Amino acid sequence: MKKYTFILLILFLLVGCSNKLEKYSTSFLSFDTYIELNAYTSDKDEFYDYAKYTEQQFKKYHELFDAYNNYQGVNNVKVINDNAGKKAIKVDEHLYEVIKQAKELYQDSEQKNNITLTPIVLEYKAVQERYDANEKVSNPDLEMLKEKAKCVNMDNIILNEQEQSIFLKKSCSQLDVGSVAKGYTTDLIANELKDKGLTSGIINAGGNVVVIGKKNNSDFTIGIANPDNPNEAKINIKTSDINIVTSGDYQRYYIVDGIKMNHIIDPDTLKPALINKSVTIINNDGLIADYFSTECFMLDLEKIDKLAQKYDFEYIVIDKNDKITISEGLKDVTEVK
Amino acid sequence: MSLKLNKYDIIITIVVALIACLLLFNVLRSDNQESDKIANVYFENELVHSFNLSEKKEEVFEIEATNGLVIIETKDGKVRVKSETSQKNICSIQSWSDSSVNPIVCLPNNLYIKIESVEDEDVDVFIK
Repeated sequence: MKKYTFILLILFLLVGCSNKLEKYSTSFLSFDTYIELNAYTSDKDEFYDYAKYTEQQFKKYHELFDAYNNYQGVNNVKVINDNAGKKAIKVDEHLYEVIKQAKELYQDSEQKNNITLTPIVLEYKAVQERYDANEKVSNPDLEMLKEKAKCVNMDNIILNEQEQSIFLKKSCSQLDVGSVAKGYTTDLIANELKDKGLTSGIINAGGNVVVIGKKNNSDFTIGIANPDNPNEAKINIKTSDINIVTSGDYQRYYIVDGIKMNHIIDPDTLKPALINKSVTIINNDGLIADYFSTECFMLDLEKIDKLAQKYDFEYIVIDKNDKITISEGLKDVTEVK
Repeated sequence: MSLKLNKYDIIITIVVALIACLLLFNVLRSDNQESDKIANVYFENELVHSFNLSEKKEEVFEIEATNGLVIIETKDGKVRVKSETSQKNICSIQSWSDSSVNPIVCLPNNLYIKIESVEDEDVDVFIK
């Protein structure tokens, strides 16, 4: 009799082992972008919990990092901007952390990703919105931009660690944390999902990707778009448990005199950076990956490589001449098509 | 210990286990094969229309979105935005899609088309 108990036990174990996790997917627009969660879970109900939580958290952090809209009871970037030159604003720990890290990274790097560049970025954004609404557009006037640039200075951000408050000392200063907050938030939510029990999945928040675990014991494959034909993958990366962020010139742009003007503005020239078409940064930290995908989009390879050594990130750069450069640490896990 | 398996018991265990695995695999496979490929159209995060791409029919869906009219069509199991009110026309330039990793996203119009499918793709996520 015991013999058959043993056989049954083996069968139960086998059935248990073969109960593979199933893939489920959800998507929504939030954070001014398209967001998708693909997760491997044991059933639909477990997935729906993660899906609901993910959408709710993106909404919450979008409100916190929003520089252009007010939300009741939220001391967000808009509130800091509205009080520029007037008073310090006590903020949520996550907002404080993002601004603090953006300032520290700026001071220690090539000083291209400047979150106080907002008055300039807004001028370009206005042109892009008019372009999207089918109006004829031209570039913003450079003299006007230079005048506005007098308000652009990272030293205008006064951080008070003890009070956890932010003060903009010039009344014309304005922050926009769009070039760091999405990476930070995607990573944060991925970690929250892991704490809730998710072991395998991917969040893609408009080019900010977090890979959670592995897919049924093998690496996930991430495709990076061809900037000249964003519908096809140019490079595939096989990886797990990592943050991948791509900045490209092919999603947000407008065209003047046949030149594609992308949304990443170089603070030194006050014009769109045209040196690269696509920069992908890979790191364990979402904020680092996001910050440097924007920073490196404005830099040449030599400077990118120096920063990669200093901050220990990997990169894939497609420059304006379509030359692809892949950092040493990625060579064995990437495939160029 | 009275637990002693002779070689026949072991053979029976392995055969039964293999049959169980095969049955389980086939049940999962047949489930998947029966699943259709669906293109879901969302406007302002609400599902407004679904096309069954597996039927390979020619269909058209029109919606008044944020910037104006968006016309979506299906043909040969694929979906595309045929025309839209937007200067860049990112959605219509993207042309046909039948891939679950390549949604058609029209941010200025607050609209996107997501393809739901159980088919395996070359990549798990596509960054663009």
